[in-house]
Amino acid sequence: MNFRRWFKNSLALLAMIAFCCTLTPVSLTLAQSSPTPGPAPTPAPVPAWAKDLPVYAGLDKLEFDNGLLTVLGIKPEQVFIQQIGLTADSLDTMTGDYSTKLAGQGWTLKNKRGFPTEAMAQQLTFSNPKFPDAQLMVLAATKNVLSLVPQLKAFDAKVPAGKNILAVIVPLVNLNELASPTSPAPVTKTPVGEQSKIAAPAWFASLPKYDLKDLSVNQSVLGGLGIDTTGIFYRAGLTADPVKKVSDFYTGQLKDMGWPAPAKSNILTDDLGQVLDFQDGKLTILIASKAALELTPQTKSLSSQIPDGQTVVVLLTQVDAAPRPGTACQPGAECQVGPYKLKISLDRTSFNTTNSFVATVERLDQSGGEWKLAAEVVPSKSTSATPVQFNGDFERGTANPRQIKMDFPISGNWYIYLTVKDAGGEAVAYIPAVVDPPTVMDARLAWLIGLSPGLGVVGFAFGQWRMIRRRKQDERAAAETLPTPAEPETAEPVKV
Amino acid sequence: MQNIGQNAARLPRQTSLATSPITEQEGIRRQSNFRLAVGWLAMVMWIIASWSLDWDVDWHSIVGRDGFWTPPHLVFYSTIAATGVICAGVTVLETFLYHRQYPGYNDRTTTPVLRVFHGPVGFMLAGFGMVVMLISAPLDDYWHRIYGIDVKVWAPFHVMLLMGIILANLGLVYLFASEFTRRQQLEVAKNKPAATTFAGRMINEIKDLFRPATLGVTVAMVFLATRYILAFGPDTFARGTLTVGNLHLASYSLFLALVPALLVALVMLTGRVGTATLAGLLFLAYRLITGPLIQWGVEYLVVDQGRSLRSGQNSETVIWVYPLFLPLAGLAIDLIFWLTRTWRQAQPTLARQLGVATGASVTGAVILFLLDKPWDLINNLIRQFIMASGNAAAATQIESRLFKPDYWATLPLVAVLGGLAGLIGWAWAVSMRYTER
Repeated sequence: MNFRRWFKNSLALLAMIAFCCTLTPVSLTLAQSSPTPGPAPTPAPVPAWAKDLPVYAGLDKLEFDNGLLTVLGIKPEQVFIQQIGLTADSLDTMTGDYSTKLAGQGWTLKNKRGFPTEAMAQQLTFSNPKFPDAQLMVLAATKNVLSLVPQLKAFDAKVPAGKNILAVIVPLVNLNELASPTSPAPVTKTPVGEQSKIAAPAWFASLPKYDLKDLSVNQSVLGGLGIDTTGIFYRAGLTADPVKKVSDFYTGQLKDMGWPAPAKSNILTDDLGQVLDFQDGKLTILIASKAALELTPQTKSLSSQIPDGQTVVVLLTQVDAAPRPGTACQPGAECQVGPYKLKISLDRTSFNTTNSFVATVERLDQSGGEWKLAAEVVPSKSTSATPVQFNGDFERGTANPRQIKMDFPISGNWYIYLTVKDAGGEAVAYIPAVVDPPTVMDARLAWLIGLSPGLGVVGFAFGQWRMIRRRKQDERAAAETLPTPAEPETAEPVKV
Repeated sequence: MQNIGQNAARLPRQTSLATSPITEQEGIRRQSNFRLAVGWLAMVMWIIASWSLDWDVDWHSIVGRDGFWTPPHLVFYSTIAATGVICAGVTVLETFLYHRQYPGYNDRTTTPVLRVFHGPVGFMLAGFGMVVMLISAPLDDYWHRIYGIDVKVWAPFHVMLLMGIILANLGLVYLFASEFTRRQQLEVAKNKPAATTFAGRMINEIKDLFRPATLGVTVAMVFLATRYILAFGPDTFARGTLTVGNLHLASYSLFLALVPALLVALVMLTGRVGTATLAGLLFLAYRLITGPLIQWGVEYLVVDQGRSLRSGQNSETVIWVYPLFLPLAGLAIDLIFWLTRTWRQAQPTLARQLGVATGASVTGAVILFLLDKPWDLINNLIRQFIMASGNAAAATQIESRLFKPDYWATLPLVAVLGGLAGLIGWAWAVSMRYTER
């Protein structure tokens, strides 16, 4: 079993449990008090049959924290919690007993899954021929599951040791539409064609250099090879060397640089073509002979550009898309962000780490009145940085347009996030930005400067050595005329 | 070794004894008191700076680096700057007094630098280290701007910073070591009577451990150990094993085998049994205290002020106490020096000195090797986690990645490195005992 998938599944289940615990039927009022703008799914009314579902007896009350819901990005109006509570019964007892009761009402078990194992948590889904569109989910989880995820630690404290959680949930939207913390709302991915929006991550420049001739590769060719071309950065080249030689070069050189061994797959055979996948897609190297490219219709067009006997090498990395959900906006253009019509302008078109910039946010849907604005720059996954907030929390004010001064601490791919909050709810807009680094110093010069204090160390050591030598000479000279004092190492300790 | 007060007349520059109201001997004593007092001030600043550096390491991993002026950076660089000013101030003041021919300030008690400056070598070295660190700050920021926050430890300007740290800490060690040597000579000149009973001698020896110069050099050495572990420990531990042929040696044990050099140097410099144990205890105390303080620093400034944490992080810091058994290694080193004291002094040959130094160091290194196995703890925690999850596939996958060195194969190399550490400790102690200015 893939460990990452196992962890994601666990997280998804925990999220489900968490929002079960966070919601009761009464908490639907929460949704009315803090409406969320944007194209939220329209929830169906709570079906009548949901109120007739059997009740698991002897459940203790479970207190929960509404903040957890926000942390997990779950919308309250999407579910109806028929029952939730704590019990000392085992998971199998709970699910077995409840399944029997449901079967008595005509419900059929559709699916049963363990997260990560059935001993830790179970998810059961049921259907009922009497209600064709009915969806019913029963979740049973141990306390241990909660401690696995940092976001749920606070909630974990509210579940006493030895108690298990049972939740009976009626999803009001299609199960697939339920938000999951591991699968954020779809965002507009930056297409690879817009190279200006995607910069190579810094580490890309340090990859081993193979002697390649430049080659222009259309992204559709990569797509034809089954590569997800959204949000990738790639470079392609040509060499007369055979596939195996190129593969051995990259595998060996990258190993020396500390990269783990790649997952290797062949295009039919390893001398026709190879795909080297380093660190789960952080870096993919495609090495293909002309013959390999002729195998599929999608790559035939590329094959025609390749002289006989040449090998194509493509290094690509997933630069990734916007790290958080929101609406992509173009600077200077009108943008519908949730219920708000905004115009976001930036005072510059190119960014660097030295100069700050000013973002101007104009509300076109209304003028006057207090509204709140929060600004943050968030690095993309490929940029080694952390988000930076400006002006702390939401800044209040009536001015329209509003201006906010920001800067990027580190070069790379960033997203400027602007959150507008008003009576209509909260809406997020983002603008991608490529931040140029300062003039890059030659690595040798950097090391020369970095190691220069070593001269101080050497100088000090040399000075000490000379001093000791001179003192020993003095001692020898003094020994001829003066009484010899004790050796430094053997002198009896005295009060100091 | 020459006595400072007695041999001042041999110096090229004559002090103005005739015109000064105080004697040369009194001038030296005042100078020593002044240096010790200011030295302790610098030491306290350095302790804060060291803590803030440890804090910064956790801040980077938990919060990130959303700019240069993070709270740990503010504390670190302000204490560094303040300590640098203190060191520079002492050097300028002593240069002034030297040129004014104030009693006690002569070529024997000050180190000349750039022909103009005359001051204590410890302060000047520490000051140089502080300057190096301050210069490295904008360069490191520049490097981070290009390559991101997760730049490896061994980046050019991190190395510069580390060198500055080592130089500054070495300066503090030499500062107290030179004052220790000077005061010892002053006390020898006084020829004070020693206690006659065993209990009296023991009490005196314990009290002596806490005298300003002795404690100063011990604390400075302890912080040198913490800096050594900060610089090399996590990287070495993360590396796991050092592969030599078919052997996978425990790199953490190998790196730890050099730590006894500091303890041996300390005992040989002071000649006091107990300093190595005290150093081990102070080291452990710092590690235990610093963890909760960093936790507080993160929680208070991040959680309470609403700063966001890095993805997948919580505000809990990892309290890194290793090497946990340094006091035991120190105790063993002290015991060896105590048991061989009569033998060494009966015939103080180089061979005996070196033999005891390397023997004690090897013993210390082997004790650390046998007891300090943090990977065991971590492996067991992971195993327990897997057992709790009951996921056989994950268990198999993770089990194959656990850190499992060829444990006993590491021992001979640990012994060799321990011996080398003993030699380094001995040579270093000699260097410090000759330093009087």
